[in-house]
Amino acid sequence: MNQSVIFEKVRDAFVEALGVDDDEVLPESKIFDDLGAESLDLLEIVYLLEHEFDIKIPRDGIREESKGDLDPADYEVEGVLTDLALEKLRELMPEVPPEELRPGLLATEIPKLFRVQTFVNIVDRLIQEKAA
Amino acid sequence: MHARFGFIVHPLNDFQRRVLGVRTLNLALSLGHIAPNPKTQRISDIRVQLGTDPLKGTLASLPLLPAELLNDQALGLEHLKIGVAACEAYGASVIGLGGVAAMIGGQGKILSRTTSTPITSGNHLTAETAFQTTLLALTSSGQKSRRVALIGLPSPVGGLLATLLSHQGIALEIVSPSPPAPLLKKMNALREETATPIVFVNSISDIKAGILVAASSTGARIPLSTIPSGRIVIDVAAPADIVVDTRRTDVILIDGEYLSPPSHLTGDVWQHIYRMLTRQPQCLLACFVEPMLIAASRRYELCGVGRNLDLEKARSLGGLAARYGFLVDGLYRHGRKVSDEALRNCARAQTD
Repeated sequence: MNQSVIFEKVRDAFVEALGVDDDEVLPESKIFDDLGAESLDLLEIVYLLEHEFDIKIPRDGIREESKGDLDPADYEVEGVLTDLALEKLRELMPEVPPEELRPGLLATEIPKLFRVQTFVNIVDRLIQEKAA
Repeated sequence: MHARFGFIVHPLNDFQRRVLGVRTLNLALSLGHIAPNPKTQRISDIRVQLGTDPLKGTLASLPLLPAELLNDQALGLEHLKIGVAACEAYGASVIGLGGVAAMIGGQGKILSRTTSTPITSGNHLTAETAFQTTLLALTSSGQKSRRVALIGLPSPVGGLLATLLSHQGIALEIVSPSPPAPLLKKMNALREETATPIVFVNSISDIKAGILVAASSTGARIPLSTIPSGRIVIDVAAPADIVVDTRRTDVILIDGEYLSPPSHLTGDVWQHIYRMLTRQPQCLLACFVEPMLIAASRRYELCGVGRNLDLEKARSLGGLAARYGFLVDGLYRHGRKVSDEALRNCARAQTD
């Protein structure tokens, strides 16, 4: 399934969950700052995407994936992400401008970086894993 | 004769699930083990006298904890459908959702599409009750300025509460370090509509209002130690927004979504246990009362699911609550009434 098809379905999920218009949902839209989503909305969006694509999206998936096999102490120190963690996040989230994955970023701030494209990429990855 | 209601709940922690195991004669559950295929089922029937007729309802409980519901919403929804069927078999003509059950699946939207029985999330009456509680706090504490700070927006309950307060002529301080564009737009429109001041502040430490209402959707984890001195804090969120990390005598915490019923709830011992475990020994949570009001009045059009809450529904439910004798008759914390004197002393401690 190509990314433009995935994007359309992801966009539909955001429209359904947030009550925004189609044309307000762009790949680069930040889901909290631009679209006004909150954590409860993420629940609905995740449910709709899981249902639409027959996949399972793990909670805190990106954070967990970015930890990889890093030792917890190498991932964050008092809640602040290490350089190693930021590097891993830059790989996992190419849609986020690198300057936003800045030193001093808290682990709890990762969701604030999410774009609509983040979800497109997650869905794409999970579909490919399922097919493999 | 009133129609019947159902209310679907779930255990909040391991201890409550063990109690559920005892109730449902599930030995494994009662010993703290997750039995294969734990069941959702009715656990108690309730009566409350409204006027000359008793209002009857039933409680059904999912066997899942909050984290389990959030981690696997599809499983949660399957259990909710069983809960709905159990309430329907009892004769419920409206079914309310408690706790995380009201959060998953688009805050009840997806569940509501699977049944013809009206489903309601409780959010409208929660917002209206928080509004009445805030007004009472303003008058009881002798606050000179009619100004309230709100944290937790853009939550649906927080947003509706802002609308209710602004329409009452109360100035608002919205605590939000980087308000999203839709929230800015909504508050600008509200400010124009009501001609009442609405400002955004960066953090709790910047608030001038003597009353802070915390109304996030999923528990914002605000340490009590960060609240400026002399504030009355009304916590509407479930799970609670305020984390009591320290003892304060210069800040008063109020529970924001409780109503006093017109008469005692009666029923078997399990409805009593449910209410004790969920801190409802006398007062009841608004989300629990909402399906009661809808059943009693048969005003099924007042059911609400999803994030878009309606001002008129909230007001109508508030009117029904008053009509049937469910009142905000005081300010409470964990079931204990807070005195006006304590509120006034707290307000006097405000130094800015």
